[in-house]
Amino acid sequence: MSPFPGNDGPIDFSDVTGGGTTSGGPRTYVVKKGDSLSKIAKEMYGDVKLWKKIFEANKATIKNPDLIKVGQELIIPD
Amino acid sequence: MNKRTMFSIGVILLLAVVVGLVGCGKKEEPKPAQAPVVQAPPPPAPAVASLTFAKGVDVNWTAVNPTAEFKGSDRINASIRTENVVPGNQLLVRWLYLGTNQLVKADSVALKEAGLNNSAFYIERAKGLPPGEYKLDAYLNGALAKSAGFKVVK
Repeated sequence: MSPFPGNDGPIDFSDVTGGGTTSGGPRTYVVKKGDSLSKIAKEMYGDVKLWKKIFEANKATIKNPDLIKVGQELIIPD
Repeated sequence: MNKRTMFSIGVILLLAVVVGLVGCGKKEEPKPAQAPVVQAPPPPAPAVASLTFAKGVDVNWTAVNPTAEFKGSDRINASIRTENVVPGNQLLVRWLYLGTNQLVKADSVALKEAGLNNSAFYIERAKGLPPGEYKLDAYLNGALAKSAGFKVVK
């Protein structure tokens, strides 16, 4: 096996998640495996208690705050 | 035709010749001077002012903890500042893995504000991005505007 990971052949990057946002619109976040609203709040705001802020902004798509789906795109309000 | 008639015809012909000569020699009146046309300078071209990799981005889409070296498990953020843009301008990024020269992901946004804009893009992979050299190409309205590299380490 080559010590250079890239030299072993093509890599399947189809499982890479990502996205883009720009000023003038809300930030978004794509839910990944193991995420919860509080974990996302910690990552986006540095404060787990602000999960309610994310929940309120996404009530149209989140019925149960304990149940968010992988791949779901959430609005992250300022 | 008597002499008087011939004289009259002669006078008429003479007058016609004189009038014709005067008319031909008439100088054209000078046209009024036109005001010089001052063209407005072209608007400055849209450009990518900066591209910064970071561990995070803040609420203004600017880099937090900028770095060009990440772990495979990190979320890799790119904060891009664009200038001289108009709403609707397209900012496209292509994340490339240089180890195999592969496209990792591409994303685009339509810029929403005139003038300066901040945009943020990210990639992450649950099982970790392979270590190696990466590059991000940023295209503004279809033209390559900025490139920068970063590294993923074990």
